[in-house]
Amino acid sequence: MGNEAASAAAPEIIVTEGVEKWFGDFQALDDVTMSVKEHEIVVVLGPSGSGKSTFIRCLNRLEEHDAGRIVIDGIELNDDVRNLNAIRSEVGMVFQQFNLFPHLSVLNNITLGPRKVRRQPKREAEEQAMQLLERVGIPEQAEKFPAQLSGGQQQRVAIARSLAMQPKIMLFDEPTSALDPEMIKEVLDVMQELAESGMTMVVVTHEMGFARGVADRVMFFDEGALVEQGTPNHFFDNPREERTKLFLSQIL
Amino acid sequence: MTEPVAGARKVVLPPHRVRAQRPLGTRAREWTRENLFPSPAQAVVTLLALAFATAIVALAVYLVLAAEWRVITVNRWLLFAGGFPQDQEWRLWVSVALVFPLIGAAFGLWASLGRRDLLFMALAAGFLFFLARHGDAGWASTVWVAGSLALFFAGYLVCRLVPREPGRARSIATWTAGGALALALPAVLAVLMAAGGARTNEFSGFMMNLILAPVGIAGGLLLAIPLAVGRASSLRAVSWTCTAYIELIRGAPLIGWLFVALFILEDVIAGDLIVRTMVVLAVFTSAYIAEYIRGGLQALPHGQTEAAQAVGLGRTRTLQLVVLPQALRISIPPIVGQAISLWKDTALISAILPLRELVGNSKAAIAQPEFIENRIEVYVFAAVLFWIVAFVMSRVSQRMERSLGIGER
Repeated sequence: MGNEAASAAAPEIIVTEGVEKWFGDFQALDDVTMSVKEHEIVVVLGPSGSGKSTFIRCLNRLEEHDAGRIVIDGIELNDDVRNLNAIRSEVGMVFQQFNLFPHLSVLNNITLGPRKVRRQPKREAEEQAMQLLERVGIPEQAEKFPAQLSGGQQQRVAIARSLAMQPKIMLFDEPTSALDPEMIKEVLDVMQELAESGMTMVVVTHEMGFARGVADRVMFFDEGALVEQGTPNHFFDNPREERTKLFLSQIL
Repeated sequence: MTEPVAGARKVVLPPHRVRAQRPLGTRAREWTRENLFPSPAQAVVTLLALAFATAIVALAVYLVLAAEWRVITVNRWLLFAGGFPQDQEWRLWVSVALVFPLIGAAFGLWASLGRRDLLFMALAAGFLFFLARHGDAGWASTVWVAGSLALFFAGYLVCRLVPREPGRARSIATWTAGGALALALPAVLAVLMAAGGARTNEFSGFMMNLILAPVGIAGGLLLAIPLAVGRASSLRAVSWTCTAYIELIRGAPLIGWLFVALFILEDVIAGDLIVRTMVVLAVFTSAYIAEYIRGGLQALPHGQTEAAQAVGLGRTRTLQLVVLPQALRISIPPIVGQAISLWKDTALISAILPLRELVGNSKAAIAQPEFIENRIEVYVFAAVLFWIVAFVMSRVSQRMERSLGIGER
């Protein structure tokens, strides 16, 4: 919300044109054209199976798109491995199932990327990791293993792990869907703080409160297509499309 | 109190007190009937169990009362290391002195010595002292054994000082100990053979089993990792080659491969038979372990790979830092199972090859006219030795599972 003024003039950091994705005969993404400006917070909504997760997974090429163009910070996503590695270290991703590395301590989960990909010295990487753990509110858990943490704590470590690569963009794929209700808030608080710090974020979620309160823009996906987008006020109070109205009537 | 369900019949409890008052003979007959012979099928099982128990008891009675153990005491060195050159015997004891502190260190770092472990060490020590005083051996061997025991406890106590919590000191200690353990096998072979030591054709008896099995297991493990990864590769040529290798090796029994070592490999690997046997054991084991590791790879959630990629790790680093450490940990129990299996299979070697491991030297022992009647003693002794090592391996594996938290994280 707070970034609206800034983002009006900001350059576009994610651009997609006519993106399509097929799983066999099933079309998961149908001609998706959109863009995200730097520092913008975009929340992606849609019923399950609407392609919203597939879409953000295409943005760091965990899925390969079959047609169209995806350009991240001026680099086009294609078969070129160098492009891919360049993009992956600029785009952080947080998963529904956290996907922390269970054989590594919290600290090593966070320092793995910086040390092995960015070749940061160990001490420097660990100092940065401790700062990030402070930021997500769990510095005292640094030496523990993921299985010893609650779901909310694990997800906060996962956010810290992504931030350790100093990404320009953060993707969130249903970050609170696997959490017990009482832990959702602690993760959303961290995400809100991140949004306020000026991070560019694309968030797939079912948390309507987050969408209303934090998003600069809401996108609605249905059957693989980007059906409607707009500010939260427009989207929740005056949706244009029938499918959007139907979806909102089912969840609100 | 629960309300009685309407319409339910009142259950009549068995007249327990009435039963207890009847004569003992009647009660014993009833118990036997109810518990041992309730049906014809169960009667057969009971009789078979009885026959088995009788045989065990008979063997035990024979071993305790009638057996003549002189065949073991006289032939102990033959059974342990028959053909090993006498003037090189110190090399065997140096090997023991090399391995013992490492075992102690492993206990100190990853476990602690319980009462059972101490009992077991006492037995092992007793056996080694017994061995050291063979035939016309001097006291030097006994001193080596005593020194080895002291080193065991020294290694244990030093490593007990290392803190259990993860940290710099602990990671240095575990890496050092792990590296030393990995180098122990080549080091032992070097001690035995280097600079005018024993030749491989002078290896024999129990020490041959103790060398061949670890070589087969370690070599098999090293070969298995690329095989398992290769089998999961998306490159057809690679995955088919690995699959063909695995299926070919697993498709034939070990005895067959030992024949390959004897006849076919001679043209490929010049050099002595024991080296060819080592190659065959490693190749044989690798096919099985590769399949266990593949199971571990497949058990990992796909999210692990995705998370590693999302952090920016390439394929190789993802495999090396994220996937393999977890897959190997999952496959430890079946890999240890395979190790135990190979350990016992080394008893086949003398049956096929002109090499004399423990079983081969056991035959040599009872071929002496003096001991021709003592077959059972010798084979029971050999069996107990095999069992002890297999038992130790299985206990170590259980402990590893517990301390690595397999199934927990």
